[in-house]
Amino acid sequence: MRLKVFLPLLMSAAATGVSAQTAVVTGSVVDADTGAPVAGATVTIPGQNITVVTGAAGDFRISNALPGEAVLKISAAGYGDDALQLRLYNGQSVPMSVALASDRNAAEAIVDEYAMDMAFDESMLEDEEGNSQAITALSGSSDNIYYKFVRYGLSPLYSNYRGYRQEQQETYINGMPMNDIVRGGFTFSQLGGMTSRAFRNSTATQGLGAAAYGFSAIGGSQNFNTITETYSPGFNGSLSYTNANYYARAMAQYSTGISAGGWGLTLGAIGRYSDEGVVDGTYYNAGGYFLSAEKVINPNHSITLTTWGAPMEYANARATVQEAYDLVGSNLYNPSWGWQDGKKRSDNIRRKFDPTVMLNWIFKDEKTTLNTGVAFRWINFARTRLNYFKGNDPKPDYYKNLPSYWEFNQEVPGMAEYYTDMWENNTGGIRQMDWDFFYRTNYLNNVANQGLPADEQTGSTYMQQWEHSNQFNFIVNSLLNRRLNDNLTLQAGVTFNYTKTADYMTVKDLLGGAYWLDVDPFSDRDVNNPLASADIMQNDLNNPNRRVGVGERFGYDYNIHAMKASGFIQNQFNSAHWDAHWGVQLSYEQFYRFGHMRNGRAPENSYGKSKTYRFDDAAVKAGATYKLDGRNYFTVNAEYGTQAPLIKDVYISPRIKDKTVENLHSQRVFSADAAYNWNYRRFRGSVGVFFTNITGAIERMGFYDESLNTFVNFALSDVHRQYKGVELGMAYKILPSLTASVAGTYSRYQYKNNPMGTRSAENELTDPQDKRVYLKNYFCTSTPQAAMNIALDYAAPKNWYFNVNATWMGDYYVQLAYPYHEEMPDIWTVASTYEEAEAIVDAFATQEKLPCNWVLNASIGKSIYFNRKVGLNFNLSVSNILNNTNLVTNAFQQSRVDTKKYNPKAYPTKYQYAQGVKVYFNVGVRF
Amino acid sequence: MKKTLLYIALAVASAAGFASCDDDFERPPITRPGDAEQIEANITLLELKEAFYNASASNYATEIGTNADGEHYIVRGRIVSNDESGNVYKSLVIEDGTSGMAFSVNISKLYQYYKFGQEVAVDVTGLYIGAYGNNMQIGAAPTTNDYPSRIEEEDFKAVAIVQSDPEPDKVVPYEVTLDELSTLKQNPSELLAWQNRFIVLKDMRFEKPGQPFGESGSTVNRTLIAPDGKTIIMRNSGYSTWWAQLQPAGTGSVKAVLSFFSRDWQLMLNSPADLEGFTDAEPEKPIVGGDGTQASPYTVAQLLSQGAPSVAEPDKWVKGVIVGFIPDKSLSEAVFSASGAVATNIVLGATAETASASDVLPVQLPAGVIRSALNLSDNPSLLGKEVLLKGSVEKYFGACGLKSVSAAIVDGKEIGSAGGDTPAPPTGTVVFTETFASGQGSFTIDNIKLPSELTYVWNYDSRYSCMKASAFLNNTNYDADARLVSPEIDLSGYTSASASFEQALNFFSTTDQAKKEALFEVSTDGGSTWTPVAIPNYPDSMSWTFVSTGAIDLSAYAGKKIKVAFHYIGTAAKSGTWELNKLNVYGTK
Repeated sequence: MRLKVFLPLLMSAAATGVSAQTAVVTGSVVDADTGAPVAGATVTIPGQNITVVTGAAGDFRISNALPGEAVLKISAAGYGDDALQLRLYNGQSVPMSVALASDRNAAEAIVDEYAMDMAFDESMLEDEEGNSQAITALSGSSDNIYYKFVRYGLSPLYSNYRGYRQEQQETYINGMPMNDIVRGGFTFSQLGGMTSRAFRNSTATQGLGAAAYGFSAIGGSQNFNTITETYSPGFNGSLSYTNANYYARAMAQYSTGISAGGWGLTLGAIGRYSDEGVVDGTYYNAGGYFLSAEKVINPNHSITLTTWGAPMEYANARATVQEAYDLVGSNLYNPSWGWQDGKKRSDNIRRKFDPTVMLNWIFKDEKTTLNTGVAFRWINFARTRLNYFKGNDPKPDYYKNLPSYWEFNQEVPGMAEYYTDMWENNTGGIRQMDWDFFYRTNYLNNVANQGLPADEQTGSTYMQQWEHSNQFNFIVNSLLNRRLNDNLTLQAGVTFNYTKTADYMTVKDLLGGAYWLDVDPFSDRDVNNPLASADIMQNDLNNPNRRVGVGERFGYDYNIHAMKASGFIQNQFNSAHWDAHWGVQLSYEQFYRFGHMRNGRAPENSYGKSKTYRFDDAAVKAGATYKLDGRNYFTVNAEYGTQAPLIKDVYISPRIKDKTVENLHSQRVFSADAAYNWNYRRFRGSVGVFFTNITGAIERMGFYDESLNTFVNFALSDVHRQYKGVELGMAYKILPSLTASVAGTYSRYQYKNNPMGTRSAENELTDPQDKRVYLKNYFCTSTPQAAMNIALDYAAPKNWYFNVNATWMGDYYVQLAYPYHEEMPDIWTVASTYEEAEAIVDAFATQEKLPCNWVLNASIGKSIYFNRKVGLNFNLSVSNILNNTNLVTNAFQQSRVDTKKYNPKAYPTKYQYAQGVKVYFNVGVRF
Repeated sequence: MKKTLLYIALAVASAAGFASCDDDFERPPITRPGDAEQIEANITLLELKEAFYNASASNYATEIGTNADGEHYIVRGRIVSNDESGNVYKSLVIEDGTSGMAFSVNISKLYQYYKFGQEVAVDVTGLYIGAYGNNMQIGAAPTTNDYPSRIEEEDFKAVAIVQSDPEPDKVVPYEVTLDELSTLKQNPSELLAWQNRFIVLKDMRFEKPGQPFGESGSTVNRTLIAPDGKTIIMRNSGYSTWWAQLQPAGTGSVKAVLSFFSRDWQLMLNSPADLEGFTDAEPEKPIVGGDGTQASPYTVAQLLSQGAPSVAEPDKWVKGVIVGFIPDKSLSEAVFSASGAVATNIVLGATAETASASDVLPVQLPAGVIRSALNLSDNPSLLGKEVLLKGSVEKYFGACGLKSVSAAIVDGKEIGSAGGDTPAPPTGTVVFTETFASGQGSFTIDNIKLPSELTYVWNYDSRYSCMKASAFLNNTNYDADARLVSPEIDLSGYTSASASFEQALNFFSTTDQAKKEALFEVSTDGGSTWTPVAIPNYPDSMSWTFVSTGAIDLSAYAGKKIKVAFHYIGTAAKSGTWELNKLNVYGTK
């Protein structure tokens, strides 16, 4: 189906100072459905041999048209062609807006929308704060077949576009950069799952291309547009059922459109619920609201207030060792819950709520758009964790509870068999946590306390805590978009971001105990160390041995105060054969830590304000496209710049002290990509390469170091990472309604040097040690580095739509642990020959390649229109139809090295698996 | 369109080439010990020994200074000792072609850092050289003794630097005979040269094939015999992993460090792998005997084989035949007749034919009913009679004997008081016995709950020849639960049954508590379910004294196949210690 819509918004002809015998046509091309600008659309006046191409904002200008009758033809990949009849007058300018409809049928569009929602809902669970595994999600309409595949097709796995970390991709809302400047990324959960409704109007920039809304980033960017006038008036509602983390989902949105008085309002709400997900001991409970209100003051000025938020609480599974999965016999085994009073209780609960308020004032005239906005965002994140003092580690998959520990480390005959038997037969409650035991233990403490003076009493042995990680953001931004002439546009913007974080713990549940003693349980072992001060266990020397109750802060409590100011300016040039862009960005950042506790492990540098760190950065980028003809074009882009280290990576142990990685400096980033695109009626596609070099990066992790007998923080400095690869996407229309498409990538995301690692014991009882980490040519991150998707789409008559696709994923590597790549001089305590030593080093240093996997997915959609306004749609998607349960989504080495026996399997890799077959059924209504 | 396909093909080809170069993973370097900076010796081991040799003392220690040029003395040699299996302990022996040298080092796992066949250079200046029992060695300044003490780990690692990879093949033992060694030790220079060399002795045999190499927990001497009858001692530690293995039979070669003590050579074996050519020996036949109760008395052969106990065992029953007496002070003067007998003692033999002083058990006859009823002077007819005597097994006439005899049974007639405090022993034939005299026996341990801090609850205690259960470690009581389970005991065909064992209870909060935490249980279904059975006689108080349980009634299980178990329960509040041995199960047809 091909729908043409012609929406002349502002037909008033404005007389401007143009030279004789020419007429001016200006306008913009937008997506009829989402209102997103369509960049790269070709606008021609055939009779006059005039061709221009729309800029990143979808805008175009023809200033040399001949007056008289003219036909304006507009075409863009992925859209139906459009043509307009115009009457042009000498010396006059005709502004217009052209809305292009997608060449997909309505059912296909809807299936896509819900696929998008699902991809976001799933990724959201993983993109939690503080998780280095955080992934990026891609949004924004795009006709790039490969990009679309990365967006939906790889969703069961952690997949980062081009292997980049999340900070290399920028998310804008109404032109305001919304990435969190502490952790670098954008958590999609703050959109509350309303991606297909409230946040449907979005534009994406792939790779190093130029954006109209900002300088973008090397991993591309997306801009969500929530200005009220971009929502189609009417009601939209949907009810869905799925067997994922939740099973019920309801979403509704109503939009008034802009009234005659210039007022418009869009309201939305969402709910998602599950009392228990597909994985045991998980649940999901989330709501969400959205409001966008606009007042169009006059044709030039409008003001929009947008506010949204999505409170949610859910319990997740946790990664564990393969041994546990095998003993239980399921890759969906979840060790993070236990029984209490016959009910399942999780210890892996997360709460999120990031309410945001944003005000945008948009000024528009014929050549200029100026969007000035201010936003407030409150990020609230908390997760639970069981804490214990002088008790045993309560996790069922604690390594000493597994048969392998007894096999490898203990020579007690029969113990391995004993534990194997318990695990396999699920006896003694060994597979899960035992909440009743925690209560019993604490109760016994209470009994023992009876009659004792208060200072001899014992608090909880086991306790559940909230670990909070909150932020307040204040963002001011102004973005100018101005057309300088027919071929040239200018974008410029300035942004200021003030962020204050608050990280602290509170007591969630004393589990029946009297109080929690605010000391560090793990420092218990250091108390007798002659080098240790008597205060080493204290979390807050200003309030030593404090006893805390439910809701009280303890453990750590600090703020980061950060400020970032940046500005950019860029030009885009469009002509019949050449497009080009160039731009420069400058930024300044400063931050400091403020500790509210004087920690016993770092009494001198934990309390109060730290030094302020400052970074100046700059980046330049440029790119060009050569259009051989209307069907074939070649693109090259490049960017070079510096990036300040992420604040989260700067402090080596921010919960305790304000010590930073040494020799802090910005990393240097060079990135380039090139592509060949072709676009015929039946066959279109793109093949491209990219190459990125990041040098001088820092990385940080923490783990238990057996040789030092303490928790250590490990920082890598001057890391060199390289990302390169091929991307291919092509689609062939076998019939007008039947399309076959192929998309895939073959990439290498690698470390390219052997950086220096600094190990700092958290108890500070030993001096920091510098050791080289041999990482050269190892693979970064846990993203598949090769993937391929083959899809068949059938847009059938009567608004039926069918899709079947298969995805193959390979070259997927386990996340590295740095200590496995250091020289191990003490290896000779267990090796007696060089060959034995080499075998041990090999066993530690070999990066496990996860098995290749493929999944088969299918969707059916149907739309019914009762009249032009009222419509009903159904869609059913089944992903992973063949129920492949060996799909690793996340795998990481534990970092702890067995320095007694150098057994690489003593602390084995932890894995997490995707669920098997997943069904999604949705009914939507609109009127 | 054709052009397009060409572009695509070109683009794909060049792009694939761009991304597909595979690179080798960098591995962290492995620093070989042999890559270490080579340190040359400036004195040989023999020169060093000769420089500091003190012929007039068997124990001494002298600080090693610098040489004439003011330089430190450096020795260098190849490591020939290996403490991995635990026979060698805190001693590192190196050899440099002139001699060997033992370093006394306070590192319990030397093999982790200094491996057999690895070259090592040691800066010995500042260390002490001396001798212990005339065996020259290097250590630290003497502390309480008059010979070099152990060098602390950090100090030794700082001066003893490995110089090569382990090259065990380069250790070539010196072939020598015992005859040559006896000559060599006469010459001080040769004595020093040969001390702590790694040698091989050929055609050797063990004096007692089939006897274990060692004894748990202590160091013993075993004897090796050369073809010419000359012998050498091998020192074996009860902490080695192989002490319980049997000394092999036949002849073969022995590779070991040649050590020295006092006036004689001795061998220090790295591991039995250094024994070649021997054959496996049959285990020594155990001597059948009883447990010292009236129902199962000790036999003479049993007591003689065990030797005199270090601590007297009172109130034990011994069975034997009266074969004679000892007229004077020495056991060797024993007379095997009744004529001229003294009244104060008799000797028992295993049989009436016993006629060797080394095969008899001397028995002291205290004045009173016992002496008058049993002495050969007044009762010559007792010669050749089997008797059952109750007394204290202890040293008598320098050998194992029986003193303080308080009761006797002769011809079924009881003399003296047989009962005493000992509870009534069970009656019937012994169906199953396990004394735990030499280990856990055929019992198995079922850990129902073993806290991760503990490695065991039940364990064999060789010192007291008993099984011991405890859940107390490092001053902490733990929750624990474990059974010591017997093999199947077949009571079919018996009409009644009973059992007894001896136990010592300590550290339980009360005896009543012990009755709940130290249970004797019976299972008729192979160990799936267990029923506790009452123990008639418990110790009165918490102590290390073994007390017999008396007859535990198992009549309910007569005719069945059962397992019995000792069920120990430890609690985090208070975990007791339970020691037990000498289990007998009796049946009556």
